Amino acid sequence: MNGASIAVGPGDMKTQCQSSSMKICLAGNPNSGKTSLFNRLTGTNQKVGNWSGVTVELKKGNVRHNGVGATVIDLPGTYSLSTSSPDEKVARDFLMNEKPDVVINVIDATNIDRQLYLTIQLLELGVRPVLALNMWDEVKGRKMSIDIALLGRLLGLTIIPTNARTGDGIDNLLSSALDRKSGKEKKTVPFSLPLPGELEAAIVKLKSALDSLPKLSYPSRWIAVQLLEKDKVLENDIAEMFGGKSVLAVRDRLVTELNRILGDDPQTRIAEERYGFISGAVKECVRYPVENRLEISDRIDSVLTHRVWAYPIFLVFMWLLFQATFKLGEHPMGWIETLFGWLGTVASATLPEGVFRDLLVDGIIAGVGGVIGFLPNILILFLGISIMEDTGYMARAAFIMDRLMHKIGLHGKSFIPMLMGMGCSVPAIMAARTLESPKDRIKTILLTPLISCSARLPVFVLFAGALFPRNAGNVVFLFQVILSFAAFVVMALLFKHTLFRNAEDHAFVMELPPYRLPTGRSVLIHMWHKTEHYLKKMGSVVLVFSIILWWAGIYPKAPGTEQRFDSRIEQVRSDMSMKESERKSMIEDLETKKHAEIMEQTYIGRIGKTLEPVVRPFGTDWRGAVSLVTGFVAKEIVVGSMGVLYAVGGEEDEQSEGLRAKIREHFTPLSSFAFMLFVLLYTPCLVALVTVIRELKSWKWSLFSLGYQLIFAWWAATAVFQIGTMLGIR
Amino acid sequence: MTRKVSEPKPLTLFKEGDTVGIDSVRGEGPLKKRMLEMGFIPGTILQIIKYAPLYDPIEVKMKHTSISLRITEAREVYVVPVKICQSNKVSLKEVKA
Repeated sequence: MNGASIAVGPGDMKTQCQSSSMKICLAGNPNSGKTSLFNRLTGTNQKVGNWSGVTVELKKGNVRHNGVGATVIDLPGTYSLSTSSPDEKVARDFLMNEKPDVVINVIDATNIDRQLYLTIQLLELGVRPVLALNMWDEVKGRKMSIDIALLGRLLGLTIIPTNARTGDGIDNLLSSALDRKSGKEKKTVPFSLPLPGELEAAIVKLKSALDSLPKLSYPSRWIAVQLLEKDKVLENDIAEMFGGKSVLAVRDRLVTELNRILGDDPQTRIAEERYGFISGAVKECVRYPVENRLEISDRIDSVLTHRVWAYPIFLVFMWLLFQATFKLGEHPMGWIETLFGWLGTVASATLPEGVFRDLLVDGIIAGVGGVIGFLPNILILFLGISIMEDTGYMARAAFIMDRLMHKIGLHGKSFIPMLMGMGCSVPAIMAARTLESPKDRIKTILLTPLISCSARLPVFVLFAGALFPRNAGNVVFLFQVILSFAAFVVMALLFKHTLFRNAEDHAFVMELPPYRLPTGRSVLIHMWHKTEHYLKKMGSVVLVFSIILWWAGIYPKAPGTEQRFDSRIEQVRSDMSMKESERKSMIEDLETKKHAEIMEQTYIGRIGKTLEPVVRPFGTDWRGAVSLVTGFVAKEIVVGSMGVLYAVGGEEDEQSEGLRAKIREHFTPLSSFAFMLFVLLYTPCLVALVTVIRELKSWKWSLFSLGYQLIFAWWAATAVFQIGTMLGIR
Repeated sequence: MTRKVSEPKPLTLFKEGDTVGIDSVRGEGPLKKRMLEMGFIPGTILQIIKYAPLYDPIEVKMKHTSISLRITEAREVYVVPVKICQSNKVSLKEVKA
């Protein structure tokens, strides 16, 4: 056993950052302004790093102060250090395994009596943090007063007032943190929470039982307290140790006894004692103004979470976010497309014909363009999300949407990825990051691709226009909106009752922070990090996949076929017996046939042909299969591929009559319905798939995501086609 | 000042605007732990600010902080009504003797 409660994850293997530079880590509650302080300390100089014993990536950044360098690590925001949420476990494991030189505990000074709870837990764990009393300006603004010197003496800690929004106090904070390093050698006795005699006696008994166990990675007194508080993760770790079961038996006996003596369970009593200790200290040092200081915030809330107005207002905000992301984003996207189109043209014109040119133009430039094309959307969406989070509106959005979303097993905040999915799955999947609980995040990431993005629209327009000309608009709406959301709800319920049936509901209980004006700096840094993450983490993978798909789409070349057609085209061209127009149309016809046959022989073509038995049950032929395979790159390509495969010739789009006629030839209304259903439900596109993989950070879940969508799509399309056929529908 | 008016009842049985004192948090496991950590400890005064438009979750005010919790969570919080002294000032005397 490598010690109690150490996360064993991929992070274990990569102990990066073992440089001698000192480590400062930031701990604090979710609304303490910890991230703003981190941004203030490190600026844009931030990276994510893997740390031993911690399964998630944590942000780190470098600072220099008075010639001393240090690495600052931002721990997840937590209310406590127990393990009722995975973030807390991450924070605790980090503190125990990485042993940072200094811990800065960031506290919202206006909410000090609640936020000191975490401080007490740090002290119990033997960590003596430097307290950053953040939002100090608000303390003054509200005529609240905190006697810092006295509080510091009572807690035995250095306390620095800070204001992350303006940067006030940051220098002081850094100086105290660096001073602490020099005093690091004095091992202070871990702080002991003063507890009533019965509890103290029980802890001593449990501690001595624990001391008989092999090496523990936490102080045994601390483990004893956690066990009395019924920390599940520690309990499991102890149970696995040799002799651990008997320790737990001792614990259970002690708990029963304490229940009898105290008339209350020890869990409640310990929490009470912690809060009691805090209120004792706070009573002496903190003065609150008499009047209700949250009045403005309450007044805003009475409108924004109003029984009637909450939803219209929320919808307006969502509409604005959506329009800004996708409509405003269209213009820069257009410029990016033009730029890459121009680059392609220039490269084609300057480079000699050959494989290298094709690779550069159709593989690399097109691939990079495909990745960069999403940038405007991501930038704008995350600008909006940062503003929502920093103002405090995000918590209210969760408050008003939770009932609906929780019915299908999701969280109130899942609404935003779901809605954004209507524009593009890529930023929508990334938006799932606002969810704190991994279970909620996984579910949301798995489900978001089912919401039909705008790229699927051309396929629906083509098929609806071809086969349901009188109801084209309704059919498009049916797929794009109704069936798409229906699929989302159905799968969400299925997940809720199967895969996640036993998943314990993450506690929803959270603070609704007072409304605050966001600072431009914080919002911009937040936005930049999301974008940087997207470019760095996904760019290369998407590029590799794009090149592979490009290669599979043109190789192996079929020189025989090409020559055969070319020579016939030459024949026609030199045949002067035909009329000019006749000759022209024949050449065009031959050209399109040539392209179709060449495509048939490429790897993608062959894969499509091999897949014919798979698509046959839902009434599609091999050409449909090939275009579905090309649809992995992007859904819009399905239309283009069909243009080539059905040998229509020329640049085809969803509005072209020639392609529609061909579709009518090869599809019945029923089989087109099944085909559209398949397009709706299977993987949106390559970039979305890579986003899912990157965001889920688990191969198991990523494969599941890909697999369930393909199976669901196939099953739904086949069911519709087979049942329809049985009923005699064509 | 304050007195026990009745047996502790789940928080969800109270209306918007009611002021109550926590008697205990029932239930087991991580949820109870989280509730205790969030300050739902016996003797704490809560004011019910509002139910969400669809009656779930619920927003309460604890000292100066607004906290939102699902109905399933609020059901585990047993409270007693607290008599309101003066106009709208809440007596901060502990509910439990």
